[in-house]
Amino acid sequence: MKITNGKMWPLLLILAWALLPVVSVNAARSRFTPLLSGVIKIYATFQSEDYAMPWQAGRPGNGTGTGFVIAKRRILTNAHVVSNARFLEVSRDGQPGRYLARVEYIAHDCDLAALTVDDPSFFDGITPLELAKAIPVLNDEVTVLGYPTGGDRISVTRGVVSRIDYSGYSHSGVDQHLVLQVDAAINPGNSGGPILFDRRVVGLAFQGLAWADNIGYAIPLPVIRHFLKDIEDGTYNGYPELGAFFLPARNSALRRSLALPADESGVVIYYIDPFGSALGMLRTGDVLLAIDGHDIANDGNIALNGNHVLFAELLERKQWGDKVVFRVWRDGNVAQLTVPLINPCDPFVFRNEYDQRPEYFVYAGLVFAPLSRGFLRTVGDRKSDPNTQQLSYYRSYAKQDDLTEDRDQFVVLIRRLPHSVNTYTGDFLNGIVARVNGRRISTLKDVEDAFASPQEGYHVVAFEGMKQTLVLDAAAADHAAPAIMGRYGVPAPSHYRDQGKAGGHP
Amino acid sequence: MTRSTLLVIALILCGPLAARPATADTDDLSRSLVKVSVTAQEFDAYMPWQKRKPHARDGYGIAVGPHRILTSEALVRNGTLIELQRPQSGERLAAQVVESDHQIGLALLEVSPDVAPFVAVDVRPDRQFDADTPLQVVQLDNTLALQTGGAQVLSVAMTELPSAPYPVLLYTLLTDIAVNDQCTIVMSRDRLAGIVLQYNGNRRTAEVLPASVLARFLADADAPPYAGFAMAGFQWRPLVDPTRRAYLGATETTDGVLILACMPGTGAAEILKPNDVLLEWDGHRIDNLGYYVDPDLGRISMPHLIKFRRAPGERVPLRVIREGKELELDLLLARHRDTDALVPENTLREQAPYLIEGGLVLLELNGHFLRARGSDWTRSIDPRLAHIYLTRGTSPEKPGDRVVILAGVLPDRINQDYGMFRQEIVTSVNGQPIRNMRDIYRVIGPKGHVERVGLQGIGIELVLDTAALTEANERISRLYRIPRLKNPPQPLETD
Repeated sequence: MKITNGKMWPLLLILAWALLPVVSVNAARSRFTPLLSGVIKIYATFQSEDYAMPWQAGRPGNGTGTGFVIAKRRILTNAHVVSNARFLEVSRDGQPGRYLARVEYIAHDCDLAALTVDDPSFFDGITPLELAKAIPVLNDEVTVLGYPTGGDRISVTRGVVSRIDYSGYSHSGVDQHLVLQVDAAINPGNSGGPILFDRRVVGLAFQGLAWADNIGYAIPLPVIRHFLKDIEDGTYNGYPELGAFFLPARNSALRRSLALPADESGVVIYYIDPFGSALGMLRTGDVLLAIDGHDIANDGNIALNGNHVLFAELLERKQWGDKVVFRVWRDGNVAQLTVPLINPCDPFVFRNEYDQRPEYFVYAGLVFAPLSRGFLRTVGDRKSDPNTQQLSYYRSYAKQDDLTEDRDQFVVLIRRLPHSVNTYTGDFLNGIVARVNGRRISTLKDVEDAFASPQEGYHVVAFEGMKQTLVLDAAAADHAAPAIMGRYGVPAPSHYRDQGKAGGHP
Repeated sequence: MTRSTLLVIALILCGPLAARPATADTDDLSRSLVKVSVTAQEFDAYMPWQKRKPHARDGYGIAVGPHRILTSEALVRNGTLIELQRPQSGERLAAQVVESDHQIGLALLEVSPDVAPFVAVDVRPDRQFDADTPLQVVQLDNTLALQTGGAQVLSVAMTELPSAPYPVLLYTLLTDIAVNDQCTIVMSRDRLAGIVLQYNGNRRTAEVLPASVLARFLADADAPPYAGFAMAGFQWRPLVDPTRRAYLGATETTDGVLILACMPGTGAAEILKPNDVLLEWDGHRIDNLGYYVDPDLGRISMPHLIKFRRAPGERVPLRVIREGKELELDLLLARHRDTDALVPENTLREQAPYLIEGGLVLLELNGHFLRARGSDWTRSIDPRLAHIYLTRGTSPEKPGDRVVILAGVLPDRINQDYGMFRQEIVTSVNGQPIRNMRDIYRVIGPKGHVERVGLQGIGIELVLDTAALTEANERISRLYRIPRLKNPPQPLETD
C-alpha cells in the first residue's frame, strides 16, 4: 500500500498537534507529581457511641478520607475522618502497602487532626506539601487533591475561590470559623485533602452543602496555622471563647441611651456568656469601640490588611491564654480593657462528642445520663411530648434563662429497663432530674450518691417542670438492681469521665 | 317468579348502594333538619390586626324551637355569614348565633321570626342509650333530600372535643351510611339522640354528643345569663403504683387519684393541695384510674362528674387523703375561662390584644399563635415558648399572669437591628416590670408610648427614639397597612 505525500502531510500535522500538548503536560507533570506523593489515603474503621444504650458501643463502620504530609512526618487531615477510629491505616497513591497510623492531635472545634505513622519507611520519597504564605483571593484558581468516591486512585479537580466567609463547622455542630468556598467538586472521600494554589496548601477540603451545586468548603490556611501553632506545646487547647454577644451600635435611640458620641462606632454587648473569657471583664451595655487598636465599625467589622472583616476574625487568630485589648465605652467614658482569653470548659454548648464513652448511671432499671447532643439525636422528633420538648429548651436556653445555675450537667432519665420495681415510672422518661432524695443534682455522680441515702425507705426523684415525683421502694429497688442489669446485659452500673474543668475544649 | 320477589331482589341489590329512603319516623324531619352553610374568617395569629382569607364550611342543624337551630360550635366558629337551607329548597335563610360554648362544642342559632317556623324536635333524653338502642343517622344527600341510615353504639367515654382541648361525653357510633358533613343528627325513634361532631370514614365511626348534653346546653341557653359547664381547676393523675400509695400514706384503700396542681384563683386552689389523694367527689367513689360508677352511664371517667353532673356555683363535698389522714372538704365549682391560663388557648382564634410601637409587635403568647405554624409547631417555634406552654401553660403563678412576647419587628429605621430579638419574652416596659398586656397599657397610660422594652435574659433594653416615635408609628401604620396600632385587652380598667 502506498501513501501519497499529499495525504501524509496533514496526518503528521495532526500528530504534531497531538504531541505538543503532551509534551507540555509532561513538563507540568514533572512539577506536579512530587506534590501527589504527599497526598495519602486514610482508611478508618470507626465505631460511634450508642447514646440510647450508653453501656455499649454502636456498630463499627468503615470510611476513607484524604490526608497530606506536612513537615516532620506529620499527616494533616480532618478530625471527622479519624474520630471514633478503632483502626486506622494509610496508603500512598500507586503503592501497595498500608501502614498503621495513629492520631497525635485532634481538634474537634475546627475539624482538624494530625496523624503520624510510626514506620519511618512510609515517608520515604514523600515531598511534604508546603503551606502557602497567604490565603488566596476570590477567583484564584485552586486545585483539590484527594481520594473521593468513584475510584481508588488519586483525583484532581479544579475550581476557583468563590467566597471567603464565616460558617458553621458541622463536625462539632456549634463552632464557627473562617471557611473557603470553592466551586471545584468536593465529594465524600475528599475530606482532609489539600487545596493548592500555586502548588502550595491554602486549605483543606472538609464539607459540602447538600441541595446546592458546586459549593464545597475548605478549612482555610489561618485555621490550619492556628491548629499547628496550638499543638506546638504538645497539647491542643482549642479556640478561646470571648462569650460576648453583641448587636451593632447603629440604632440612634440605642446610641443615645448609651450616650455614645456621634464619632464613635462599635458594637453593643447585650449578653455575657457565663463560660466565656469576657465574664467579669466586659458588661452588658458596654460598647466595644476597638480591638487591639483596630477601630470597630458599627456593623462589627474592622479593617484588617486592607480587608473589611468581622472583628471576631482577630479573635480567631488568638491562642488560648493570649490577651485581647478592647477600647470600651462604658458609663459615658472610654476605658481600655485587657481581657485574657482563658475560659473554663463549657459543658452547656452541647458539642458533638467524639472518642469519649458517654456517661451513664443505672439504678433499678432507671438509666440516667447527662444531656448531650448525642442523646438528643436519639430522641429525634418526638418533641410534642413535654419532657422531650423540655430537653430542647434546656439545650437552647441553658445560660440565658440561668438554668445552669448550681449545675455542671443536666441529668436526664434517658431510659427505663422495664422491671416490676419501676413499672409506674413511664411518665418521667426524658425528664431532667432536679433532686434525688432531697439532694440537688449538679452532676450525674450526684444521682448515684443520692440514691445511697433513701428517705424513710423510699427513693424520691423530683424532675424539672413536673408536678409529680418518682417514688421507688428503696429495699425492693436495691434488691432488683443487679438482676435488672443482668437481664438487660448492662455490664457496669455506671461510667463517668474525669471531670477536668479547667482549660479549653476536650 | 312473582313480582313481589323481584321487588325484594331489587331492594336487596340496591340496599348497599343507596341509603334507605326516610322512614315514617324521620319524614317529619324535613321541617326540622337544615343544611348550615357558613363563611368563616379568623384573625391572623401573627398579625392580629388583620383577618385571614375567608373559607366555607357546611354542616347540619336541627330545629329546637320554631326559629332556633342547634348545631355544633366548630361549624359556626368565626362565622361571618351563616345561612340555612331547608331540605329540597334553594332558599337561604340568614341565621345568627344566640349562644355558643366551645367547651362542649355546641351553638344555638336563631332565624328571623318572619321565617316560616320549623318543627322543633324533642330533645328530652328519654334514657341513656346503649348497644341495643335502635338509632338512625339523618342527613341530606346531594339533592338535599333526607337520607337515613342505622347506627349502633360502640362505646361511651369522656373524650377531648375534636375542635377544642376540653373533654366531653361522646358516644362512638358505628354507622351504616357514610356521614357526609359536620353535625349530622342522630335520632332515637322520634327524639333527638345526639349530633355527630366527627366522623371516621375508614372505620365508619361517628363521635356523637348525646342528648343529655344537648338538653342541658339548651336549658342553660334559655335561661340567661348562660352559666356554662364547670371545671374543677386541678390537674390529676391515676394512682395505681402501690409504692407511691404507701409513700403518700394511702394504703387503707386502693381507690383515689393523685392531685398534681391547682390553677390559682379556682375553688380547687383554695382547698386542695398537690399530693392529695382524691377519694370521693360528690358522694361518688373515684377509683385509682380516675373512673367512677355513674348511675346512668356506668363506669366513666371523673371529668364527667365534674362537668356534667353539677353546675358552676354549686358546692360539692370531697373526701381526700392528705399526709395519711382522710379529710372531708367542700369545693366551689366554677366555669373555666380560657383567659385564666398563663397561655390561653384562644381556640376561638379571636383577636388577641396587641400593641405595636415603633414597629415592635407586642402580644400575649396564646395557643393560636403557637399552633398557627402547623401540626409540627413544637419543632419550628422557639423552644422556650413551646416549653412554657407545654409545662405550665395552664398554671399562672398569680391570676392574670401572661407571657408577653416580642412577636415581631416590622422593619423600620426606628427599630434598626432589633429584629434579632423576635420571640423573646418581654419583662419590662419603660423600666416597669410587666406581667401581661394590661400592665403595659397601664404603664404607658392613655396617650403614652412604649419607649424602652426589657427582655428576659437580655442585658440591654430596646430603646425607641421618643422624639421620632409618633412619626414612625404613623409611617409604619401606613406602610404596613395597620388600621390600629393599639388593641388593648377588654375591658381595660382605668384605675
